[in-house]
Amino acid sequence: MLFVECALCPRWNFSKESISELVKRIPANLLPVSVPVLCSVEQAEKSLAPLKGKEFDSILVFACGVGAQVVSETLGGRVIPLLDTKQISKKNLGKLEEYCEGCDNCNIHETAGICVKTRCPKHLLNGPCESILEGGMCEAKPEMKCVWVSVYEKMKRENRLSDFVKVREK
Amino acid sequence: MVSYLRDLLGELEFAFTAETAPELGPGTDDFVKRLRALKKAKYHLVSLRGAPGYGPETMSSLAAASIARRYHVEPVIHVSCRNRNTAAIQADLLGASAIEAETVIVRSGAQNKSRNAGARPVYDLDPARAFKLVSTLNNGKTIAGEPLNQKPQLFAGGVIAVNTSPLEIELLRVRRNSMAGCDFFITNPLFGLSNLKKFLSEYERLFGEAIGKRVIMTTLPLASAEAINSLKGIPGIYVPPEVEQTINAEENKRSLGIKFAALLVKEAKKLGLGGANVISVGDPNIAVEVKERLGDL
Repeated sequence: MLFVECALCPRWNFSKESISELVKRIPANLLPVSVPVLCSVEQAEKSLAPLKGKEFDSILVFACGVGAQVVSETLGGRVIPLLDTKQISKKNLGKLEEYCEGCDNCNIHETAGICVKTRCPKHLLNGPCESILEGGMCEAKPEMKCVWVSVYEKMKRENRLSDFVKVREK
Repeated sequence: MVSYLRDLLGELEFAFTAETAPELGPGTDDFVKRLRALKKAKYHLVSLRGAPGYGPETMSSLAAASIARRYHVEPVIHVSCRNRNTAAIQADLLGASAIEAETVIVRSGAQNKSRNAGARPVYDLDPARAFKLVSTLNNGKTIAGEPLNQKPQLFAGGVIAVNTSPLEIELLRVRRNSMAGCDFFITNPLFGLSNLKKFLSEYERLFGEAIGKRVIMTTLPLASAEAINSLKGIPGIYVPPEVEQTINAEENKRSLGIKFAALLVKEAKKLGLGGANVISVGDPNIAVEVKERLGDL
């Protein structure tokens, strides 16, 4: 079995110790390979070149979904992702919060620096919805504050509420 | 065809709408009976919920409207941004215009909490952009800019959630919808008018526009303790404790609930609102009885 690790990104979310623990729990002879950044095709090609043409029962990939697919494209074989990939998140005290969905059209300057497309569970560009809960909490995720209430509060502080009523098209 | 509601509001005639939905399934016998009863009770229009976020996922509002049309009932269709993407909403609006069901209520739609909780919510559009879409269609173009063979005359309304806190955020949201092309407004179910009065006066103070004549006040007869309990936890709905206590202390709750609803409708008319919308939940004839109680108001 081959174990391919993306050396950079997963380290943000998993300590080196936890990776070692994970490897120990897999009862097989593993050939570990570390690639600095798997989403760079050039780096993946360079690091994985010596392994091309070799056959492995499975290739375990410790990376995001992009990294796992790059390994699959580069080496072929049966690639098994070890991680479930979440979106682009903020990490705060070990907890991940999705902050960006990579929409290719960033307009957070129009919404007080807050990405409503990602952080509002209904992805409302012109929110809030009609269902804000008591205390300004979100109807879809009652444990969190309505993102549009945060936008409103920030715009109010900055005396920019006239921006709130603009209709955002995309 | 021009929306009947547009006519009523334009002529400053107090509009009566009753809100209902077909039963779960394709059988429509009971639904048709109810439509006939509501028409006979002189409701101007019947507002047809479709696949709500809370409660059974009934047939689509547009399908129900086509049935209402067969019986010469003026329908109001509901468009929930939760349930359809832009293309599907555009398709529904064109279909609504074709069957002369041109009065439309647009809402974001509550998150799925009903029996179809596994259904994936869409939210491709939000109400503000849906109103823009309506304006585009009314100007004879699709959202892609292609010309329509005839201009619809859609008349689109949005929701006012007067119990929102802070209220200013709701004022701004409604203002945005108004500027995006929202023609009229409908409240969430109310059991008192104080928050609505405050909303309307604040709106006029902030934006220099009195919108009361374009507002339809929604209420719902609280006919049982179960009816009151079923409303608890639904966002935007607030049953004042004194109303709940009074109804619960009454032996004939149904009669008192009908009386309260009728009094609220009278108060809404006195306030100069555009109309009233009476919801019947689990008690199909209750809206008819509210109207009977109102007499020729």
